[in-house]
Amino acid sequence: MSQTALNRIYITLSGLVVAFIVLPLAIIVWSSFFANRILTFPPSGYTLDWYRRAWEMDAFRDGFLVSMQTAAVATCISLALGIPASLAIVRYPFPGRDFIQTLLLSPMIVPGIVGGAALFIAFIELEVLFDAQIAGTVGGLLMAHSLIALPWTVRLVTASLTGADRSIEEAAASLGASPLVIFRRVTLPSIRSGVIAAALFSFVISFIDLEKSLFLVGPGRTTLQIALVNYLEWNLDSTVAAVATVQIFIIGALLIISDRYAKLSRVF
Amino acid sequence: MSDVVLRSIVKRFGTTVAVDNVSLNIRSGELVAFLGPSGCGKTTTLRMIGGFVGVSEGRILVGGRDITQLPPSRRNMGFGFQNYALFPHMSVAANIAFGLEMRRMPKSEIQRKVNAALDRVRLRQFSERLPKQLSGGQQQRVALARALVIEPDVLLLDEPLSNLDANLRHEMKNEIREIQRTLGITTIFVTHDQDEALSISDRVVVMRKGRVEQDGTPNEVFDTPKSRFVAEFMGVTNLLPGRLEQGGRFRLASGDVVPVASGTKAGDDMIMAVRPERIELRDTPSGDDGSLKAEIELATYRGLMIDYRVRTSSGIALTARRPAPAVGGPEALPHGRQVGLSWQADAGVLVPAGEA
Repeated sequence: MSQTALNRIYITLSGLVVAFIVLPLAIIVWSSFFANRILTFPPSGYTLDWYRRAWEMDAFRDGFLVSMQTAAVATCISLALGIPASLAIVRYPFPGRDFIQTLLLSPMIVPGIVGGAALFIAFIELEVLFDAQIAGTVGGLLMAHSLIALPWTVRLVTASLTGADRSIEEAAASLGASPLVIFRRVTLPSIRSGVIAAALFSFVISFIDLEKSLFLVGPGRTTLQIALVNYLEWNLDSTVAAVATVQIFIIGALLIISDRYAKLSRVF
Repeated sequence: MSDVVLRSIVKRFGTTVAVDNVSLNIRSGELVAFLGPSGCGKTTTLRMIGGFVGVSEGRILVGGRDITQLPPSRRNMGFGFQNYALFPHMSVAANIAFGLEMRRMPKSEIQRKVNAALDRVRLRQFSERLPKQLSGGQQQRVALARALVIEPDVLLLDEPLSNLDANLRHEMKNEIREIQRTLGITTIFVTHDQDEALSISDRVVVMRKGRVEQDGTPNEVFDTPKSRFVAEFMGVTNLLPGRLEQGGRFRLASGDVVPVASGTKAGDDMIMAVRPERIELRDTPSGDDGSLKAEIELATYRGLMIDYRVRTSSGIALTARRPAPAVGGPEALPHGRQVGLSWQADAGVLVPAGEA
């Protein structure tokens, strides 16, 4: 077969794969503008009404705010835990290092629904033990979301630490800097892009989580994703599509920004 | 300014011994080169002095003070890294100011010292640039300024010239020497380049397999190597095994007898090391005057010099380096020419035979 024919097949295949990924998203965006009362095809006309309706619905607006807050706090927690952990993993050969690294990355491997159920059961056991409510509280939800974000933070930060030049830290030490000053003024700035990417990615991963949160949200404090599932149970109109469209654009923007700081393809 | 004393320094990494019982006294204001091939322990020794690598055994004293257990931040040493290790996110001025800020100096004082340091390395106009906007030579000068501005007791340089091209290397070499002389600062630098070591240091410490092989002035190390290894490292290509005889004579393995200036005791198996520059070639092979009969096998033109590969009638292969004749002058010796070959008694340095 000639080179050009091979090329053509390759391009066609790539196009099909991209279409397979993009088409469902495109259809969601498209259907969010349908005027039909019930989501059907073909559209009888186009409207922006679903966006207005979505914002007017308490469940979605509150869910959006809960998701934003949860993702923001979870991101902070995962950075606070993940950066020191990454430093220890990359810099110090302590016993059990590989085990700790695997442990930190494991929430990424365990299916979300399994992890969520496990946390729920653990929380219940702890509640029995200490006679305090954990499941369904903000704390419980934040703990779960920090776990969701942590593997991504550790992965991205260890990757940028591995590539960082250690001799600049030694230079700072020889100039009289204490370890804390070295971390703040030399190490952190040199892994800045990795940390930014980790923060953005942690945020996105927490924001889009459905499965882990499912067991852990409390009454009156559901995340956006759960609010969407609840709504879908009884309704089939384009409100969900409108909400989804907004999310697609927010997340897309965040991923594009984070890709500028750390190429994900080089980290995984 | 301070002297540096290493007392029986040992460094082990697991079961391998990187530095094996090194003791040195480095005088205040001295410029010392640690010279050796890669893996000889020179960089590890330097990093132990700087405090980046722990010492397995032994003590390090600077100005009489035991610093063996001190962290790098409390040793007051300037360290120059092979890759310069400038802080990439800080301007040139901020890089140089860093060490002064760590010493909690007042702002105006820092400003004054940074400017003086920039002037010393002629980089005042680059003070607001980032390191990556500078050339390699400029980066090296910033690194030097940054290390010196804190007025360290000792300056440690790890292969300071290896990342520069030939012209810059020469220039930087002189600059380092000049700054070192002006400040009178005790300086240790690591290199694998014998030229570099010989040309700027007061003293050369040749290292091999974690030990000090020879320690002396550039002249001593160059002219009177104490071992075959040092001789080879200093570019001596003619190593002739033989035995010392009575009456200041040396019998080569080939049976030829050559004069020798100073003898250890007779009967020892030794190696005579003769620099190619010291071998004289005579157009006419006489054989009567103690010269060896030989034949030119190959002549390699090297610009100022010509390297002749010669073989004596007794079968020894040697390299002789003679000045290349000027154009229009006498011709270089052609291949196959019979010559007489000799060297002065003091040109043959005896080193112990045995390990390579």
